Amino acid sequence: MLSGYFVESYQNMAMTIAYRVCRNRTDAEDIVQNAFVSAFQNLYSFKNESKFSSWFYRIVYNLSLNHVNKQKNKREDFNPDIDGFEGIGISNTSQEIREKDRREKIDEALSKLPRTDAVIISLYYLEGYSVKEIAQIVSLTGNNVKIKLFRARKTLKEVMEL
Amino acid sequence: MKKEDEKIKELLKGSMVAPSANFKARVIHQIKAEKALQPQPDNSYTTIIDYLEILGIGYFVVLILGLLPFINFGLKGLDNKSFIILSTLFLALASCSSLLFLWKRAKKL
Repeated sequence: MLSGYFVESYQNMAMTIAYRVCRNRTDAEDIVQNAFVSAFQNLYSFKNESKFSSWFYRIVYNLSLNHVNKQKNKREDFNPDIDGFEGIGISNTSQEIREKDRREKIDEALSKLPRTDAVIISLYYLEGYSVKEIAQIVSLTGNNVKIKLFRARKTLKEVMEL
Repeated sequence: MKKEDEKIKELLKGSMVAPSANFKARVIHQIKAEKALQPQPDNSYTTIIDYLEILGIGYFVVLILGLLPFINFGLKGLDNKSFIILSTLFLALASCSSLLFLWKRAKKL
């Protein structure tokens, strides 16, 4: 089924974007689920001016921001769900445990970045998106993305002691 | 700069967040559910067209049946028993089919 293929292809990056914005795994899953449904219902509005993935990640990003804004309006406590974080492919050997620790450290470092910066750096390094494509997804200008990318890189280097 | 970029890229590789195991099934299920909840297009117009089409075909058959005797014998050719019975039969059949269509549509509603 076509929807199954799309879900499998884009779910990890979509989850990463939603998680970087809302910093809660359960909420991120709900956001991505709604984004998939919304994308399928509005497929007719997708024009070939951009990549399908860019269009879809933009939906995910906007829904995540809406979710965070709603949470802020509710004035609820915002608990980063770092303990519940699991990367891809985790097992129990000592090497894997060390790897898990490293991942948690990276996640902690990313959670110290502003939400948009964390999304920008993930899209840039994990998906290899260009500045122009990222600008379309996060609705910023190319220069803004460049500045945010520079700052995020600097903060990440400081936190990770590179 | 490129070396640093490679380092960051390598570090971030493990930061990709995967959804839970049943996530894909959940999404597909919701997409199907939402699709089922969407209002179905109104088919009543198509049904009326079908209804008129059946009657039209009936009259067309009668026209074809009448054309040959009319060409050969003129109006007198149409004034014979077998033609009248045959054309009445075809028109009755077409009307019955049309009524059946309307009845089925009324049943659906």
